[in-house]
Amino acid sequence: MSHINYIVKRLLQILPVLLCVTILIFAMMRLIPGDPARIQLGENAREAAVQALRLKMGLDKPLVTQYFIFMKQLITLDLGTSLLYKIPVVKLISQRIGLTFSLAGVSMFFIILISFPLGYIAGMNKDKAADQTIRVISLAAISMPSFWLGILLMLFFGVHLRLLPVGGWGSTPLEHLKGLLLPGIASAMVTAALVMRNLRNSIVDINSLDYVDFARSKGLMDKTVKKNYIMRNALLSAVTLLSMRFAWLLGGSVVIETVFALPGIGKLLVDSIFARDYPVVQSVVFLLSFSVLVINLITDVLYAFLDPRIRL
Amino acid sequence: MSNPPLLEVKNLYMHYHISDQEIVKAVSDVSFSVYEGETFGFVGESGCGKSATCRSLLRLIKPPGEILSGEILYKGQDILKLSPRAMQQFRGRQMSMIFQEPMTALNPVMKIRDQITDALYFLKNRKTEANEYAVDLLRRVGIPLPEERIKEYPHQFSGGMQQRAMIASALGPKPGLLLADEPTTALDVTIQDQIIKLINNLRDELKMSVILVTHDLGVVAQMCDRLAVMYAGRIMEMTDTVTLFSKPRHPYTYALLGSIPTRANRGKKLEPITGAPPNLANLDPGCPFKPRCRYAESVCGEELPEIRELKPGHWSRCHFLDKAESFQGVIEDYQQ
Repeated sequence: MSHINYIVKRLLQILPVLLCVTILIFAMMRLIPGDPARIQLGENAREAAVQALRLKMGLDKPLVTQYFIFMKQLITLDLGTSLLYKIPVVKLISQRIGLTFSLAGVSMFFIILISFPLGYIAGMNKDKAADQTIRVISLAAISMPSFWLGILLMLFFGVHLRLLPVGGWGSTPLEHLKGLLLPGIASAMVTAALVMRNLRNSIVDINSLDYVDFARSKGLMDKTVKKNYIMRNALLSAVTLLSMRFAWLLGGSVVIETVFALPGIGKLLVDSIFARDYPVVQSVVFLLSFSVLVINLITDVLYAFLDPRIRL
Repeated sequence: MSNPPLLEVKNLYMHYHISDQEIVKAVSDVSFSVYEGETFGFVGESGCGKSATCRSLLRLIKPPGEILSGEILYKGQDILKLSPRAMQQFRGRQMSMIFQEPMTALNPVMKIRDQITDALYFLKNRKTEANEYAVDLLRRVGIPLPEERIKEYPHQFSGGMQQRAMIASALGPKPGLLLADEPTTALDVTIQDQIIKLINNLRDELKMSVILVTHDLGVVAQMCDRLAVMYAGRIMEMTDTVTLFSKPRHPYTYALLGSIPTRANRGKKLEPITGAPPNLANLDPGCPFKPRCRYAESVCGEELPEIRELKPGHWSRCHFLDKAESFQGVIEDYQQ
């Protein structure tokens, strides 16, 4: 029961933040120099057409009314039509969102695959050779920008070995997966190193705590102590970090999708900004903000389930 | 004391090898015996090596700490020679330990039930019997409504209740010897008294022996049959409780007894021990208590006194045992 209460409370807490986000985006669109209707129709449009669009967009009404119209459009998912692609924004986004989430999923897979075993080994062998080596590698990984790593991977696996495509996303599921491997690794690296360090440090800290000694003093098997006492506590913060970094991966897709020419949300945002495709920019920014909020909510709920001490 | 001791520790040395320049000599030349059914105490100031001795007994010392030499004979078997696997099976079933801070000694993300049942090795059917056994343990350590409380997490317990739950958990595997490392220090005085009585009762009921580590002489007087006074990693004096309080034979013991309020010194100023304990990484060759000792002479700075048996069962480590005055009457105040 208390978990349900907690989730409902956190859901309600999201609303004011969401409201602020909509106000910011609304203001952003109004602060862009020039007339939104003129921008939408282009410099050479006829004055009458611009006027007609102004009326249609409600730009003659007071700001507050305009904001409510904007809200209504958001809620009903009537986000307008892309100026560049000439199709409804909702359709455009729904075509591309799958890729971005798949990319984040593939990255997540690599993050866990790399960080959990390495963090565990480093933490359990504090200050020994394995720990030192892993720490140096993680420092290197944190210092590498993902676009640069992406280009290196592309050169090596794509150009040199010709094992994986250098970019694009193909048309069959297998091609999709192949296309996502390199960008997945490239964007995973920094987060993998962060999660690894977090896990390593948690394990080192927990190892010196009394409850681990107490567990050993009761004669529990080494693997029971490691599983139920050390890892269960160490994973608390690692899982939280992991979950929060998922939101970061969505934002990071802007860079990685551009490097690998993947038609996802990130690339769409970049293209739309260059093309001044404001309805799309506005919607994608809103979508990304909304995703961050939802992921943070999931993180908090997850944490509450994992750690019995959390009650709000 | 005609029976062989349950635990016999001989010349135990445990040092922390921090670097080649810095070696912290936490436990040096510690020898003592614990007999069946008795409570043996370790008293001393913070950092004198009493907890380190305790943890050495269970081989819970982590690097850079290392047991250098000595023997720890439990029922005649040297546990320092046990393989890691055999040592793991020795812990809990023969000897287990309770810690100073119950809040940090219980796993915050595990229910109390699971923290008791995970050590019930002797139950054949762990699933069905374990819960019943754990509830019974909680009832024995005085937790009300054990059937309900067993489903809770440590943070839902008060400090005293956590200490009781920890005791229940440590006693689950039925050890013959319980190491209690400052079990009352983190608790307030009324709860302290309850925990002392609880440990005393459980010792008699379960026929175990207890090693108690504390800096509180009042707790020692209430619980221990015999005790050792530790200073700078060494035992300075060791005897039965009555003798220690009534006829102490070591300057450090006088100093300790003189620094606590009793009926005898009511109205007078307490005498603190001047100075501070020595740095265990940088010990002088002589007696470690020399800088603070009011009877010290030049020989004390040059030569470490051997621990000598004055009378059967009364040991002391001092060059001038005969000079010592005695502190008659102190024990009467404790026993009231």
